[in-house]
Amino acid sequence: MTKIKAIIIEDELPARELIKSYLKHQESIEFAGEFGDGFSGVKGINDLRPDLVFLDIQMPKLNGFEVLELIEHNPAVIFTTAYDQYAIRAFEKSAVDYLMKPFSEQRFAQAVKKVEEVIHNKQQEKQLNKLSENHAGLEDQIERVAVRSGRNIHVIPVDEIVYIEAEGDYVMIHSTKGNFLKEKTMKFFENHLPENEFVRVHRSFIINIGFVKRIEAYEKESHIVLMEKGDIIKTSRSGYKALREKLSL
Amino acid sequence: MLAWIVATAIHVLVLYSFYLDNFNLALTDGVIFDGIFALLGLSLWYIVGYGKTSQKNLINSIINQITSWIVVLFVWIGLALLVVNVFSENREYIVFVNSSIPWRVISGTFYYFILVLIYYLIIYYRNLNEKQLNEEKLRGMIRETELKLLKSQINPHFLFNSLNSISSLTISDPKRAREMIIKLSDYLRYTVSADKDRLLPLEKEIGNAKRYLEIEKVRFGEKLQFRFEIDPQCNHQLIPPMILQPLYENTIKHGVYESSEPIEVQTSCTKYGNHFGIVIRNNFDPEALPKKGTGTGLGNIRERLGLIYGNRELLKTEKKKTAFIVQLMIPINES
Repeated sequence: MTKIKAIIIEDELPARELIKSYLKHQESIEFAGEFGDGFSGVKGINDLRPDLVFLDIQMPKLNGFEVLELIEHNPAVIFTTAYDQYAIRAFEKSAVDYLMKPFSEQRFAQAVKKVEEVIHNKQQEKQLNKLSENHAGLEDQIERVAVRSGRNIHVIPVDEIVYIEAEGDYVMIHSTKGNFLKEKTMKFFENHLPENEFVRVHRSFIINIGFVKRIEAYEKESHIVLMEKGDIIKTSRSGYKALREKLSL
Repeated sequence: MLAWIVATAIHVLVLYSFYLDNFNLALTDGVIFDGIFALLGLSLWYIVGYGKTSQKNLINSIINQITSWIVVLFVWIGLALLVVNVFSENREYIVFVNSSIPWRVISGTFYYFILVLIYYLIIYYRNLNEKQLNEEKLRGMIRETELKLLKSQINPHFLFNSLNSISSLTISDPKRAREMIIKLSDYLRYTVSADKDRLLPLEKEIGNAKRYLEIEKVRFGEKLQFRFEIDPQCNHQLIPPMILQPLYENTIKHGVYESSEPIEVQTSCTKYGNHFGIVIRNNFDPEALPKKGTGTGLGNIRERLGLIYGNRELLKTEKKKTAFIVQLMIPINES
């Protein structure tokens, strides 16, 4: 039987040391590397293609859930966290296991055993995306969006998003830093972007009202929005009404 | 009501057996006099009730009682005489009634004071109940606030992550694990025993801040650096306990946690005339997205400064391009 290839993504050294020392007693696991932040973690997953990732939730710049949004390969995941009521609720809805710090070696072994079974039964973690949706769904508002372009990762603060356009199963995020494709729904962004800054003006468009330059009448009874950067956005009748309300016109 | 029926019955019996031979007359007399008094008694309730709210002092309420006593007696006897004179055709009875007025005054006074006494008892009992209820509510509120305070003092992230570090150290470096347990215990002891109303010398508060940062340094390693420059004159100055703690927690949360580069936390204290100024300064990673705090930490400090020194503006914050600076001016307590 081939060994399970595992990596650790965790920003605190003692926490990494602890997992490594527990791993020494796990015959079925081959330790393949450790990463101290989310960015190198994403790269590590994409390069090493591990079967299992021990993933911390709270990390600088890119948190554990954002890491999962950006990877091209779906490993089994065991989350580690100290205290995060949102995360715990998200885990409970999914098939992955999680460890609450500090955790015992027995509890650790139990989580590893669960992963062995999952990998053995080939029921790979298709649910990871759903998990991050669940997690975000529990938070009221997002403050940033992590995106990938090629091998680069960008974290876009929501105030740098000019508008979002629907594009099949994806959305195109038009930001001041460029355009990025993201696998999320319009509904998600409509619900989680700050309500006083963003308006869904059309089935296919959510705009940041901070970047609105002008609103013009277009044909009869229809309007278009001109954005600072020169983009022209169509509005639907209800979208136009919502925009007017938000701008208190 | 029942009490009045009993009183009337006694009245009738007494009259019947001692003064009047005619039972019907005795009954009529009882119903008239006691019925009228019962009605007056109801209005008395309002006088006593009103007295409760406007009762400024004892003399006032005694004067009130005497006035209402005289008024009640006059009205009572007046009304009863009127009824008797208008409706009764029995001469003998009318004569009896007229002759019994002094006796009526005495029994009326007796009724009056019994009634007032009962009313006061009822009001007193009600107040007592209300008071107990209020006290219960207040106690609940205090418990809740204390709990909130405790929760806000001990940050669960800090506690669980520290315990996890200790768990790790028990394998790699048991001696350091033991040291860290002691530091964490000292920190927790200071936190839970700090009496919010009593001021403590700055050196104690600084000592606690050092412990806190040392514990965090085990987790963050080289990423967290700190330095203290405290003017010796500051050490004995008094400061509200745990007032600096939220500031250090902020430097960890917004500085160290969000950065991949080392963060240095500098603390200095200088004495100026009748104030001493504490400055906490940390650099931050300008590339890290500012995590929006809830502002409760700074808000709570301002709130406390307002309560203790009557000035919320003693705390000033300044955000530079790569550094965050907090300045706290504490008035020197001459005593």
